[in-house]
Amino acid sequence: MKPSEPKYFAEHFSHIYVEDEAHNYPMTREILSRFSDSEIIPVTRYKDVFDRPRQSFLLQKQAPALILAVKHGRLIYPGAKVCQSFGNPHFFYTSNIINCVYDCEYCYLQGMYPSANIVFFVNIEDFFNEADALLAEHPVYLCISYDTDLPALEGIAGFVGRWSEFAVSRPDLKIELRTKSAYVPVFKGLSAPKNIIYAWTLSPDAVTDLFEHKTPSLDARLKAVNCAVSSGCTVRLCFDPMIYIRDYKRIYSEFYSKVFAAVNPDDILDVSLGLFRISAEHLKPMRKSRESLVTSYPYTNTGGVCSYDKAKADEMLSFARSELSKYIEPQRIFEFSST
Amino acid sequence: MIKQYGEIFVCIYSDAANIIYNRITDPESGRSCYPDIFVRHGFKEAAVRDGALYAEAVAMQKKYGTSRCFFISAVSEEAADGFARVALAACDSCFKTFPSPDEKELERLCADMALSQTMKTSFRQLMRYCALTADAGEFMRTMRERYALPVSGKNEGKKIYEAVRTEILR
Repeated sequence: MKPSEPKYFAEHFSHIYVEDEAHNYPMTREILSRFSDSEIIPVTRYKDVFDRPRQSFLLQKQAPALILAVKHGRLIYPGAKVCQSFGNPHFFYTSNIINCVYDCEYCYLQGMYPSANIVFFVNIEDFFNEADALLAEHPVYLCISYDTDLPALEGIAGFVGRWSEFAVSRPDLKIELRTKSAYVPVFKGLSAPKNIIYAWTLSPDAVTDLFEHKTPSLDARLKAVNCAVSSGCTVRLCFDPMIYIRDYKRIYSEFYSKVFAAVNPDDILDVSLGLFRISAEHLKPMRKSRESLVTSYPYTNTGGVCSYDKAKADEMLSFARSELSKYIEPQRIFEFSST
Repeated sequence: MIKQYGEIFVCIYSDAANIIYNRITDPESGRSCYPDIFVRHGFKEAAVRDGALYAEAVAMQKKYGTSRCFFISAVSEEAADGFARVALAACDSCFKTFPSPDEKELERLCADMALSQTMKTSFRQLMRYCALTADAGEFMRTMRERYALPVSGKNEGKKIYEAVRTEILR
Protein backbone atom coordinates (compact mmCIF):
# COMPACT_ATOMS: atom_id res chain seq x y z
CA MET A 1 0.00 0.00 0.00
CA LYS A 2 1.32 3.45 -0.92
CA PRO A 3 2.40 5.60 2.04
CA SER A 4 0.37 8.52 0.77
CA GLU A 5 -2.92 6.77 1.42
CA PRO A 6 -4.85 7.91 4.49
CA LYS A 7 -4.26 4.59 6.26
CA TYR A 8 -1.31 6.12 8.10
CA PHE A 9 -3.20 9.03 9.55
CA ALA A 10 -5.67 8.98 12.40
CA GLU A 11 -9.27 10.00 11.79
CA HIS A 12 -10.15 13.66 11.95
CA PHE A 13 -10.85 14.64 15.57
CA SER A 14 -9.54 11.35 16.93
CA HIS A 15 -8.18 13.58 19.68
CA ILE A 16 -10.24 16.25 21.39
CA TYR A 17 -8.66 18.66 23.82
CA VAL A 18 -11.15 20.12 26.27
CA GLU A 19 -10.35 23.24 28.23
CA ASP A 20 -11.27 22.89 31.91
CA GLU A 21 -13.57 25.90 31.69
CA ALA A 22 -15.34 24.53 28.61
CA HIS A 23 -16.44 21.30 30.27
CA ASN A 24 -19.77 22.51 31.60
CA TYR A 25 -21.02 24.23 28.50
CA PRO A 26 -23.97 22.52 26.76
CA MET A 27 -22.22 22.79 23.41
CA THR A 28 -19.25 20.85 24.77
CA ARG A 29 -21.49 18.01 25.88
CA GLU A 30 -23.26 17.99 22.50
CA ILE A 31 -19.99 17.85 20.57
CA LEU A 32 -18.42 15.18 22.74
CA SER A 33 -21.51 13.03 22.35
CA ARG A 34 -20.73 12.88 18.63
CA PHE A 35 -17.20 11.57 19.14
CA SER A 36 -17.50 8.66 21.55
CA ASP A 37 -14.40 6.96 20.09
CA SER A 38 -12.10 9.96 20.38
CA GLU A 39 -9.43 10.41 23.02
CA ILE A 40 -10.49 13.24 25.31
CA ILE A 41 -7.54 15.13 26.75
CA PRO A 42 -8.11 17.81 29.39
CA VAL A 43 -6.15 21.05 29.12
CA THR A 44 -6.02 24.03 31.44
CA ARG A 45 -6.00 26.65 28.66
CA TYR A 46 -6.53 25.93 24.99
CA LYS A 47 -3.45 27.94 24.08
CA ASP A 48 -1.31 25.40 25.93
CA VAL A 49 -2.04 23.15 22.92
CA PHE A 50 -2.85 25.62 20.16
CA ASP A 51 0.09 27.97 20.66
CA ARG A 52 2.85 25.41 21.09
CA PRO A 53 5.96 26.37 19.13
CA ARG A 54 7.21 24.27 16.20
CA GLN A 55 3.97 22.62 15.22
CA SER A 56 3.61 21.12 11.77
CA PHE A 57 0.67 22.71 10.00
CA LEU A 58 0.84 20.22 7.15
CA LEU A 59 0.89 17.12 9.34
CA GLN A 60 -1.89 18.41 11.53
CA LYS A 61 -3.97 19.06 8.41
CA GLN A 62 -3.97 15.35 7.67
CA ALA A 63 -5.41 14.47 11.08
CA PRO A 64 -6.58 17.59 12.86
CA ALA A 65 -7.49 17.48 16.51
CA LEU A 66 -10.41 19.37 17.94
CA ILE A 67 -10.00 21.85 20.76
CA LEU A 68 -13.03 22.96 22.78
CA ALA A 69 -12.48 26.25 24.56
CA VAL A 70 -14.02 29.37 26.01
CA LYS A 71 -13.07 32.65 24.37
CA HIS A 72 -12.49 35.66 26.56
CA GLY A 73 -11.89 39.33 25.93
CA ARG A 74 -13.03 40.93 22.70
CA LEU A 75 -15.05 38.56 20.53
CA ILE A 76 -15.99 40.75 17.56
CA TYR A 77 -13.35 42.71 15.65
CA PRO A 78 -13.35 45.46 13.03
CA GLY A 79 -13.00 44.05 9.51
CA ALA A 80 -9.45 43.74 8.12
CA LYS A 81 -8.20 46.03 5.36
CA VAL A 82 -7.56 43.08 3.02
CA CYS A 83 -11.25 42.11 3.21
CA GLN A 84 -14.29 43.50 1.42
CA SER A 85 -16.86 45.53 3.30
CA PHE A 86 -19.31 45.66 0.35
CA GLY A 87 -20.00 49.27 1.19
CA ASN A 88 -21.09 48.54 4.73
CA PRO A 89 -19.79 51.21 7.12
CA HIS A 90 -19.81 49.09 10.26
CA PHE A 91 -17.87 46.06 9.09
CA PHE A 92 -16.87 43.43 11.65
CA TYR A 93 -15.85 39.82 11.83
CA THR A 94 -15.89 37.14 14.47
CA SER A 95 -14.61 33.59 14.83
CA ASN A 96 -16.58 30.92 16.64
CA ILE A 97 -14.23 28.44 15.06
CA ILE A 98 -10.55 28.83 14.27
CA ASN A 99 -9.22 26.83 11.34
CA CYS A 100 -10.86 24.84 8.61
CA VAL A 101 -11.33 21.28 7.41
CA TYR A 102 -10.26 22.30 3.94
CA ASP A 103 -6.65 22.80 2.96
CA CYS A 104 -6.18 25.62 0.50
CA GLU A 105 -2.56 26.37 -0.29
CA TYR A 106 -3.22 30.11 -0.49
CA CYS A 107 -5.08 30.35 2.80
CA TYR A 108 -3.82 32.96 5.27
CA LEU A 109 -4.73 30.70 8.21
CA GLN A 110 -1.46 28.78 7.86
CA GLY A 111 0.39 32.05 8.20
CA MET A 112 -1.73 33.47 10.98
CA TYR A 113 -1.96 30.52 13.37
CA PRO A 114 0.75 28.17 14.63
CA SER A 115 -1.54 25.14 14.41
CA ALA A 116 -3.97 23.47 12.02
CA ASN A 117 -5.98 21.97 14.86
CA ILE A 118 -9.54 23.25 14.94
CA VAL A 119 -10.76 25.30 17.88
CA PHE A 120 -14.45 25.57 18.72
CA PHE A 121 -15.41 28.34 21.14
CA VAL A 122 -18.35 26.92 23.00
CA ASN A 123 -19.50 30.15 24.68
CA ILE A 124 -21.70 31.20 21.75
CA GLU A 125 -24.01 33.24 24.01
CA ASP A 126 -21.14 35.62 24.79
CA PHE A 127 -20.69 36.24 21.06
CA PHE A 128 -24.39 36.99 20.74
CA ASN A 129 -24.25 39.40 23.69
CA GLU A 130 -21.36 41.28 22.14
CA ALA A 131 -23.21 41.49 18.82
CA ASP A 132 -26.22 42.92 20.62
CA ALA A 133 -24.03 45.51 22.35
CA LEU A 134 -22.77 46.66 18.94
CA LEU A 135 -26.27 46.66 17.50
CA ALA A 136 -27.36 48.99 20.29
CA GLU A 137 -25.03 51.59 18.75
CA HIS A 138 -25.45 51.07 14.98
CA PRO A 139 -26.25 48.48 12.29
CA VAL A 140 -23.65 45.79 11.93
CA TYR A 141 -22.27 43.88 8.96
CA LEU A 142 -20.70 40.80 10.49
CA CYS A 143 -18.63 38.14 8.72
CA ILE A 144 -18.71 34.96 10.75
CA SER A 145 -16.92 32.45 8.55
CA TYR A 146 -13.56 33.98 7.75
CA ASP A 147 -11.19 31.92 9.90
CA THR A 148 -13.03 28.73 9.07
CA ASP A 149 -15.79 27.31 6.88
CA LEU A 150 -18.79 27.22 9.20
CA PRO A 151 -21.16 25.33 6.90
CA ALA A 152 -18.51 22.63 6.39
CA LEU A 153 -18.47 22.04 10.14
CA GLU A 154 -22.19 22.48 10.71
CA GLY A 155 -22.72 18.82 11.56
CA ILE A 156 -20.54 19.18 14.65
CA ALA A 157 -21.71 22.32 16.44
CA GLY A 158 -24.50 23.89 14.38
CA PHE A 159 -23.17 27.45 14.40
CA VAL A 160 -24.92 28.35 11.15
CA GLY A 161 -28.29 27.34 12.59
CA ARG A 162 -27.62 29.23 15.81
CA TRP A 163 -26.60 32.45 14.04
CA SER A 164 -29.63 32.13 11.74
CA GLU A 165 -31.97 32.02 14.74
CA PHE A 166 -30.15 34.98 16.27
CA ALA A 167 -30.27 37.04 13.09
CA VAL A 168 -33.98 36.52 12.40
CA SER A 169 -35.02 38.97 15.14
CA ARG A 170 -32.27 41.53 14.45
CA PRO A 171 -32.98 43.29 11.14
CA ASP A 172 -30.05 45.71 11.65
CA LEU A 173 -27.64 42.80 11.66
CA LYS A 174 -26.32 41.60 8.31
CA ILE A 175 -24.31 38.41 8.41
CA GLU A 176 -22.03 37.00 5.75
CA LEU A 177 -21.25 33.28 5.74
CA ARG A 178 -18.25 32.58 3.48
CA THR A 179 -18.00 28.99 2.39
CA LYS A 180 -16.72 26.43 -0.14
CA SER A 181 -19.05 23.80 1.27
CA ALA A 182 -21.45 21.68 -0.73
CA TYR A 183 -23.14 20.44 2.44
CA VAL A 184 -26.70 20.99 1.30
CA PRO A 185 -28.59 20.11 4.55
CA VAL A 186 -27.25 23.37 5.97
CA PHE A 187 -29.48 25.38 3.69
CA LYS A 188 -32.54 23.21 3.54
CA GLY A 189 -34.99 23.73 6.33
CA LEU A 190 -33.49 27.01 7.50
CA SER A 191 -35.72 30.03 7.83
CA ALA A 192 -33.45 31.79 5.29
CA PRO A 193 -33.61 35.27 6.82
CA LYS A 194 -32.75 37.91 4.25
CA ASN A 195 -30.08 39.40 6.48
CA ILE A 196 -27.89 36.32 6.13
CA ILE A 197 -25.78 36.21 3.00
CA TYR A 198 -24.41 32.84 1.95
CA ALA A 199 -21.23 33.65 0.07
CA TRP A 200 -19.62 30.92 -1.97
CA THR A 201 -15.97 31.13 -2.89
CA LEU A 202 -15.73 29.76 -6.42
CA SER A 203 -12.61 28.92 -8.41
CA PRO A 204 -11.95 27.31 -11.78
CA ASP A 205 -11.45 23.54 -11.71
CA ALA A 206 -7.74 24.06 -12.53
CA VAL A 207 -7.30 26.22 -9.41
CA THR A 208 -9.34 23.89 -7.21
CA ASP A 209 -7.31 20.90 -8.39
CA LEU A 210 -3.99 22.63 -7.85
CA PHE A 211 -4.57 24.58 -4.67
CA GLU A 212 -7.85 23.82 -2.88
CA HIS A 213 -7.32 20.42 -1.30
CA LYS A 214 -10.16 18.51 0.34
CA THR A 215 -12.73 21.01 -1.01
CA PRO A 216 -15.87 20.16 -2.98
CA SER A 217 -15.57 20.48 -6.74
CA LEU A 218 -16.86 23.50 -8.57
CA ASP A 219 -19.82 21.45 -9.81
CA ALA A 220 -20.70 20.43 -6.24
CA ARG A 221 -20.47 24.01 -5.03
CA LEU A 222 -22.67 25.25 -7.87
CA LYS A 223 -25.25 22.63 -6.96
CA ALA A 224 -25.17 23.87 -3.37
CA VAL A 225 -25.53 27.46 -4.57
CA ASN A 226 -28.68 26.56 -6.48
CA CYS A 227 -30.00 24.62 -3.54
CA ALA A 228 -29.53 27.67 -1.32
CA VAL A 229 -31.22 29.88 -3.91
CA SER A 230 -34.18 27.48 -4.14
CA SER A 231 -34.45 27.52 -0.35
CA GLY A 232 -34.86 31.29 -0.46
CA CYS A 233 -31.38 32.15 0.82
CA THR A 234 -29.58 35.35 -0.14
CA VAL A 235 -26.52 34.30 -2.12
CA ARG A 236 -23.30 36.03 -3.09
CA LEU A 237 -20.66 34.57 -5.38
CA CYS A 238 -17.05 35.33 -4.45
CA PHE A 239 -14.51 35.18 -7.23
CA ASP A 240 -11.86 35.89 -4.71
CA PRO A 241 -9.03 35.09 -4.60
CA MET A 242 -8.29 35.16 -8.29
CA ILE A 243 -5.00 33.31 -8.71
CA TYR A 244 -2.56 33.77 -11.54
CA ILE A 245 -1.89 30.53 -13.44
CA ARG A 246 -0.59 29.96 -16.94
CA ASP A 247 -3.31 30.45 -19.54
CA TYR A 248 -5.44 32.18 -16.89
CA LYS A 249 -7.51 34.11 -19.42
CA ARG A 250 -8.84 31.02 -21.11
CA ILE A 251 -9.30 29.21 -17.82
CA TYR A 252 -11.15 32.03 -16.09
CA SER A 253 -13.23 32.86 -19.16
CA GLU A 254 -14.47 29.28 -19.35
CA PHE A 255 -15.00 29.31 -15.60
CA TYR A 256 -17.25 32.38 -15.55
CA SER A 257 -19.21 30.96 -18.46
CA LYS A 258 -19.72 27.70 -16.57
CA VAL A 259 -20.80 29.46 -13.38
CA PHE A 260 -23.40 31.62 -15.05
CA ALA A 261 -24.67 28.76 -17.17
CA ALA A 262 -25.42 26.98 -13.89
CA VAL A 263 -26.53 29.97 -11.77
CA ASN A 264 -28.98 32.61 -12.92
CA PRO A 265 -27.41 36.03 -12.17
CA ASP A 266 -30.87 37.37 -11.31
CA ASP A 267 -31.02 34.90 -8.42
CA ILE A 268 -27.98 36.25 -6.62
CA LEU A 269 -27.37 39.38 -4.57
CA ASP A 270 -23.98 40.35 -5.98
CA VAL A 271 -20.51 39.07 -6.73
CA SER A 272 -17.12 39.93 -5.35
CA LEU A 273 -13.88 40.00 -7.24
CA GLY A 274 -10.38 40.22 -5.86
CA LEU A 275 -6.87 39.12 -6.65
CA PHE A 276 -4.94 36.96 -4.26
CA ARG A 277 -3.52 39.20 -1.55
CA ILE A 278 -1.95 38.44 1.79
CA SER A 279 -0.27 40.40 4.50
CA ALA A 280 3.52 40.10 4.30
CA GLU A 281 3.46 39.09 7.94
CA HIS A 282 1.42 35.98 7.06
CA LEU A 283 3.19 35.15 3.82
CA LYS A 284 6.53 34.51 5.49
CA PRO A 285 5.33 31.63 7.73
CA MET A 286 3.17 30.32 4.86
CA ARG A 287 6.28 29.97 2.73
CA LYS A 288 8.10 28.19 5.55
CA SER A 289 5.20 25.86 6.13
CA ARG A 290 4.53 24.93 2.52
CA GLU A 291 6.33 25.48 -0.73
CA SER A 292 3.90 25.79 -3.59
CA LEU A 293 3.25 27.74 -6.77
CA VAL A 294 0.95 30.08 -4.91
CA THR A 295 3.09 30.69 -1.80
CA SER A 296 6.33 30.93 -3.77
CA TYR A 297 5.09 33.40 -6.36
CA PRO A 298 7.25 36.55 -6.17
CA TYR A 299 4.56 38.98 -5.04
CA THR A 300 5.06 42.71 -4.72
CA ASN A 301 4.76 44.13 -1.24
CA THR A 302 2.78 47.36 -1.15
CA GLY A 303 2.21 48.83 2.28
CA GLY A 304 2.62 45.45 3.97
CA VAL A 305 0.23 43.61 1.64
CA CYS A 306 1.65 41.20 -0.94
CA SER A 307 -0.08 40.72 -4.25
CA TYR A 308 0.68 40.78 -7.97
CA ASP A 309 2.66 43.70 -9.32
CA LYS A 310 0.65 46.61 -10.67
CA ALA A 311 0.91 45.67 -14.33
CA LYS A 312 -0.15 42.08 -13.73
CA ALA A 313 -2.86 43.13 -11.27
CA ASP A 314 -4.32 45.69 -13.67
CA GLU A 315 -4.28 43.17 -16.49
CA MET A 316 -5.97 40.43 -14.44
CA LEU A 317 -8.62 42.68 -12.92
CA SER A 318 -9.41 44.39 -16.17
CA PHE A 319 -9.84 41.02 -17.83
CA ALA A 320 -12.00 39.61 -15.01
CA ARG A 321 -14.16 42.73 -14.83
CA SER A 322 -14.75 42.64 -18.55
CA GLU A 323 -15.66 38.94 -18.47
CA LEU A 324 -17.98 39.25 -15.48
CA SER A 325 -19.75 42.21 -17.03
CA LYS A 326 -21.03 39.86 -19.72
CA TYR A 327 -23.15 38.15 -17.08
CA ILE A 328 -23.88 40.68 -14.34
CA GLU A 329 -24.18 44.44 -14.31
CA PRO A 330 -21.18 46.41 -12.91
CA GLN A 331 -23.20 47.80 -9.97
CA ARG A 332 -23.37 44.29 -8.57
CA ILE A 333 -19.69 43.53 -8.96
CA PHE A 334 -17.77 44.47 -5.82
CA GLU A 335 -14.15 44.65 -6.67
CA PHE A 336 -11.64 44.69 -3.86
CA SER A 337 -9.55 47.81 -3.94
CA SER A 338 -6.55 48.38 -1.74
CA THR A 339 -7.01 52.18 -1.89
CA MET B 1 15.83 5.81 25.84
CA ILE B 2 15.46 7.89 22.69
CA LYS B 3 15.56 6.19 19.31
CA GLN B 4 15.79 8.04 16.05
CA TYR B 5 14.05 6.77 12.94
CA GLY B 6 14.88 9.16 10.11
CA GLU B 7 13.30 12.41 11.20
CA ILE B 8 11.15 10.84 13.90
CA PHE B 9 12.25 10.55 17.52
CA VAL B 10 10.69 8.03 19.84
CA CYS B 11 11.29 8.25 23.55
CA ILE B 12 10.69 4.88 25.18
CA TYR B 13 9.61 5.38 28.75
CA SER B 14 9.17 1.80 29.90
CA ASP B 15 8.51 -1.73 28.70
CA ALA B 16 5.47 -2.34 30.87
CA ALA B 17 2.88 -2.10 28.10
CA ASN B 18 2.28 -0.63 24.65
CA ILE B 19 1.20 2.91 25.47
CA ILE B 20 1.53 6.25 23.70
CA TYR B 21 1.41 9.30 25.95
CA ASN B 22 -0.83 12.15 24.88
CA ARG B 23 -0.17 14.28 27.92
CA ILE B 24 2.98 14.44 30.02
CA THR B 25 2.76 16.40 33.26
CA ASP B 26 5.42 17.67 35.60
CA PRO B 27 4.01 16.83 39.05
CA GLU B 28 5.91 19.68 40.68
CA SER B 29 4.80 22.59 38.49
CA GLY B 30 1.56 21.06 37.24
CA ARG B 31 2.57 22.01 33.70
CA SER B 32 1.83 19.64 30.86
CA CYS B 33 3.08 19.08 27.37
CA TYR B 34 1.06 17.53 24.59
CA PRO B 35 2.71 15.51 21.82
CA ASP B 36 0.80 15.49 18.53
CA ILE B 37 -0.69 12.10 17.81
CA PHE B 38 -1.79 12.10 14.22
CA VAL B 39 -0.83 8.53 13.39
CA ARG B 40 -3.02 5.43 13.37
CA HIS B 41 -1.65 3.13 16.02
CA GLY B 42 -2.63 0.05 17.97
CA PHE B 43 -1.27 1.28 21.28
CA LYS B 44 -3.35 2.33 24.25
CA GLU B 45 -3.24 6.08 24.98
CA ALA B 46 -2.67 7.59 28.38
CA ALA B 47 -1.39 10.56 30.32
CA VAL B 48 1.66 10.28 32.54
CA ARG B 49 3.04 12.31 35.45
CA ASP B 50 6.84 12.28 35.45
CA GLY B 51 9.09 15.31 35.92
CA ALA B 52 12.07 13.88 34.08
CA LEU B 53 9.96 12.74 31.11
CA TYR B 54 8.25 16.14 31.04
CA ALA B 55 11.62 17.92 30.86
CA GLU B 56 12.79 15.57 28.12
CA ALA B 57 9.56 16.06 26.18
CA VAL B 58 9.76 19.85 26.35
CA ALA B 59 13.37 19.81 25.19
CA MET B 60 12.66 17.39 22.35
CA GLN B 61 9.61 19.28 21.12
CA LYS B 62 11.57 22.51 21.17
CA LYS B 63 14.33 20.92 19.12
CA TYR B 64 12.40 18.68 16.71
CA GLY B 65 8.85 19.98 16.73
CA THR B 66 5.66 18.68 18.27
CA SER B 67 4.90 16.25 15.43
CA ARG B 68 8.28 14.57 15.23
CA CYS B 69 8.55 13.30 18.81
CA PHE B 70 6.58 10.49 20.34
CA PHE B 71 6.63 9.29 23.90
CA ILE B 72 5.72 5.68 24.38
CA SER B 73 6.09 2.60 26.44
CA ALA B 74 6.65 -0.55 24.39
CA VAL B 75 6.82 -4.17 25.46
CA SER B 76 9.38 -4.94 22.77
CA GLU B 77 11.71 -3.30 20.31
CA GLU B 78 9.55 -4.68 17.49
CA ALA B 79 6.51 -2.89 18.88
CA ALA B 80 8.41 0.40 19.08
CA ASP B 81 9.89 -0.07 15.61
CA GLY B 82 6.48 -0.89 14.15
CA PHE B 83 4.96 2.26 15.59
CA ALA B 84 7.85 4.40 14.37
CA ARG B 85 7.64 2.96 10.84
CA VAL B 86 4.04 4.09 10.49
CA ALA B 87 4.83 7.53 11.92
CA LEU B 88 7.74 7.94 9.53
CA ALA B 89 5.70 6.82 6.53
CA ALA B 90 2.98 9.30 7.48
CA CYS B 91 5.49 12.15 7.72
CA ASP B 92 7.19 11.21 4.47
CA SER B 93 3.88 11.08 2.62
CA CYS B 94 3.05 14.60 3.66
CA PHE B 95 5.98 16.62 2.49
CA LYS B 96 6.82 17.27 -1.13
CA THR B 97 10.34 18.41 -1.79
CA PHE B 98 11.25 20.62 -4.67
CA PRO B 99 14.74 21.12 -6.04
CA SER B 100 16.29 24.33 -4.72
CA PRO B 101 18.28 26.67 -6.90
CA ASP B 102 22.02 26.30 -6.41
CA GLU B 103 22.99 28.81 -3.70
CA LYS B 104 26.48 29.53 -5.02
CA GLU B 105 25.25 30.13 -8.56
CA LEU B 106 22.49 32.38 -7.20
CA GLU B 107 25.03 34.45 -5.29
CA ARG B 108 27.28 34.68 -8.36
CA LEU B 109 24.42 35.80 -10.58
CA CYS B 110 23.30 38.44 -8.09
CA ALA B 111 26.85 39.75 -7.88
CA ASP B 112 27.25 39.72 -11.70
CA MET B 113 23.97 41.62 -12.08
CA ALA B 114 25.08 44.10 -9.41
CA LEU B 115 21.72 43.73 -7.71
CA SER B 116 20.86 45.78 -4.64
CA GLN B 117 20.00 43.88 -1.47
CA THR B 118 16.27 44.34 -2.11
CA MET B 119 16.52 43.12 -5.69
CA LYS B 120 18.69 40.23 -4.56
CA THR B 121 15.91 39.10 -2.21
CA SER B 122 13.36 39.43 -5.02
CA PHE B 123 15.59 37.54 -7.44
CA ARG B 124 16.01 34.71 -4.96
CA GLN B 125 12.25 34.40 -4.61
CA LEU B 126 11.89 34.47 -8.37
CA MET B 127 14.34 31.59 -8.71
CA ARG B 128 12.54 29.62 -6.00
CA TYR B 129 9.33 30.06 -7.97
CA CYS B 130 11.12 29.11 -11.18
CA ALA B 131 12.34 25.90 -9.51
CA LEU B 132 8.72 24.80 -8.97
CA THR B 133 7.81 25.09 -12.63
CA ALA B 134 11.04 24.43 -14.49
CA ASP B 135 14.70 23.60 -14.09
CA ALA B 136 16.01 26.65 -12.26
CA GLY B 137 19.59 25.47 -12.67
CA GLU B 138 19.19 25.28 -16.42
CA PHE B 139 17.48 28.67 -16.45
CA MET B 140 20.32 30.30 -14.52
CA ARG B 141 22.83 28.68 -16.84
CA THR B 142 21.08 30.04 -19.94
CA MET B 143 20.99 33.49 -18.38
CA ARG B 144 24.78 33.60 -18.73
CA GLU B 145 24.46 32.65 -22.40
CA ARG B 146 21.80 35.22 -23.16
CA TYR B 147 23.01 38.21 -21.19
CA ALA B 148 26.44 39.81 -21.05
CA LEU B 149 27.45 39.13 -17.47
CA PRO B 150 28.92 40.61 -15.39
CA VAL B 151 27.20 43.93 -16.06
CA SER B 152 29.03 47.22 -16.03
CA GLY B 153 26.45 49.07 -13.97
CA LYS B 154 23.40 48.64 -11.72
CA ASN B 155 20.96 49.88 -14.37
CA GLU B 156 22.00 47.13 -16.73
CA GLY B 157 21.55 44.55 -13.99
CA LYS B 158 18.13 45.92 -13.19
CA LYS B 159 17.05 45.60 -16.84
CA ILE B 160 18.17 41.98 -16.91
CA TYR B 161 16.27 41.32 -13.70
CA GLU B 162 13.09 42.83 -15.18
CA ALA B 163 13.46 40.82 -18.39
CA VAL B 164 13.98 37.58 -16.49
CA ARG B 165 11.02 38.32 -14.23
CA THR B 166 8.75 38.99 -17.19
CA GLU B 167 9.86 35.77 -18.85
CA ILE B 168 9.24 33.58 -15.79
CA LEU B 169 5.93 35.17 -14.88
CA ARG B 170 4.42 35.40 -18.33
